[in-house]
Amino acid sequence: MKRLLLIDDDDDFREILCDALAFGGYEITCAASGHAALEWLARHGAPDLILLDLMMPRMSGSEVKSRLDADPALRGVPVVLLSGDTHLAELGRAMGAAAWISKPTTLEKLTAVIEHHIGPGSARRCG
Amino acid sequence: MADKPNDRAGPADAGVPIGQRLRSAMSLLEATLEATADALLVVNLAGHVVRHNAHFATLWRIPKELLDTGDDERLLAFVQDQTVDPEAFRAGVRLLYADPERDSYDEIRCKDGRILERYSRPQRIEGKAVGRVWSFRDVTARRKAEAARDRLLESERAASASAKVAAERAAFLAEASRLLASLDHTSALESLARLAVERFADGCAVDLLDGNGTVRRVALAPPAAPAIAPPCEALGKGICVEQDDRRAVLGVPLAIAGRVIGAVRFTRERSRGFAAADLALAEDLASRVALSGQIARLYTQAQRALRLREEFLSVASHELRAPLASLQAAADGLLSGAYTGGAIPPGSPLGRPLRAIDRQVRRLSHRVNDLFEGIAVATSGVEIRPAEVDLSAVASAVVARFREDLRPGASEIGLTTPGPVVGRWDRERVEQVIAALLSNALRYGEGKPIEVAIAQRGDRALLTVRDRGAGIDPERLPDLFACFDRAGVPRDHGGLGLGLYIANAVVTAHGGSIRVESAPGEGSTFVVDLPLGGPPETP
Repeated sequence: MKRLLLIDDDDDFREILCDALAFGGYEITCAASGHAALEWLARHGAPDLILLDLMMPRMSGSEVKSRLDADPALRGVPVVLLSGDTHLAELGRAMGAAAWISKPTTLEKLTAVIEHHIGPGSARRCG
Repeated sequence: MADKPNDRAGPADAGVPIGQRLRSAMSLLEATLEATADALLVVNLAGHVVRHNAHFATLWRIPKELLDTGDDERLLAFVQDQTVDPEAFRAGVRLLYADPERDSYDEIRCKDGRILERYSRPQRIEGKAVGRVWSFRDVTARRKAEAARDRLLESERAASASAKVAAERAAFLAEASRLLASLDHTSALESLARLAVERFADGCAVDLLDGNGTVRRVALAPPAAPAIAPPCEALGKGICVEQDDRRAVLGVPLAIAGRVIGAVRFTRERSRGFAAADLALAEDLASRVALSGQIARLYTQAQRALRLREEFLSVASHELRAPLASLQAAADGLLSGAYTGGAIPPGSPLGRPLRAIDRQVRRLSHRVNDLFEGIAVATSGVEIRPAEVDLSAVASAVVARFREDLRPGASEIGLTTPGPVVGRWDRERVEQVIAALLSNALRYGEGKPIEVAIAQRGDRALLTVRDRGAGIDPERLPDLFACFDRAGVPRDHGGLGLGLYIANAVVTAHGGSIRVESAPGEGSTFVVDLPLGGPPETP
């Protein structure tokens, strides 16, 4: 099962997306902060795709992306930015993100972007 | 062989009797004496008058009676009394009489203003001085002309020097202005102080008053210059010059709207000092320094305000969009059955409220997007990333999306395309334009049909969106594409008035234009004209 890592400090958004994408057949892990995400990555290795919020306290999304780029095991993982930032496209290009989706967005659009990069989920719920 | 006249060895009058030759020579001498422009006087070694010409009597205005007396002393006295310095005149005469072999030349100034040249040389017979010939010439006119010429030359020299100084000052001020144009005001003042030392003074110091009234020295040239004291004497007192035993100090206040914000001081060696023109220059320079300081301050404040606004917008965008994102995802997930494995059935009592939530969240999302997009367009312009795009296909997709969301009673949307119309545009931006025009048409279309048409005219693509609704008051047309303009339509029509503003900015950034034809009660037609080649090349 394809593995996704969602990094977002908004609890509701994180839970709603997590449930919906899990239902879509992805194994999804949700992290509430950059630090939590990096710890998970250190233990579990690279997922197939990372969904990354930008504006988070303590460690911003761009800092998380820099850490990923600095790690040879992680720098190849496609990162999709999910943010309400006014300069999202500009930031996305500068950071070398695989894609960027402006919040708010629809599940349909989000799923389309994920499928474009790693293919469809297996339509099985993760445990 | 006959003698030729030119071959004769003797004078032309050889053979003429000597008495006749003498008379001839005397006649020639008389004629020469009287014909010359100079006044001539011949005296013997004892100083007695031997001969003079008529011009001599005229020049010295000597009465005939006096001449006829032959009294040399009276004649000399009469002449010397006409000179400015009679003693010097007589001394010169005595000197020459004492030295018969001597030549002389001098100028005599007369009381009546005339200037006479006086030449004198010995008269010799067989190499021996037997007397003296005096020659006088009136050179008053020539000397006056020479003096006038000298005055003219001097005034030209002065004007030239003055022009050079003015040019140097103008160049100094121009260079100072160039330095002060820098928005790094502290560096500009340091450069200015160095320039002042190169071109204007021996030392220069610039002091600024901080907000709490303390004086801060921001520039000093040369760096090792002794302190320029007293500190800020010039502040509030206007321009002033002070001197100690070594230096002159010129102080000029820096003032903005009558408020002193600092001072500039220049030093020179005391002997050189500062002239009135220097004071004027220093004041001019100080006003430029003060003005540039004000501009730099305003610029810094504006930059700070812009930075704060950017930070605020970034946070505001995040804070508004984050909850919308959760709402949107939740509504979306519920309606699509992402949590239940199937969509809400048509008759479910949850269907209507969920769809209402979904619509309102989308509406709010669009408003928030428009708001931040409008601000971004107004502050940073529109970024275009052109690629090959089929306008007909984009219009079809946008129209299809709008049709899906149409509520009962809303305007029907018709679409006419001539097949693919391909150009180099930013696909997302073109979608944005079509969506804005369609939203506008739906909002003001009063439920009547809306027609969207694509056409190609030469190297241009035309997109037309026509509604048959309220139309637009002609007085509002000029402001239609301005930010926050809603064309005078009642508030219940909704919208922030940013859609057309953003659409116009996007089309303009593509090198195209939007025009509108409208009349109240007859609906509106928006025509977007886009070059197939896309945005113009930017250098």
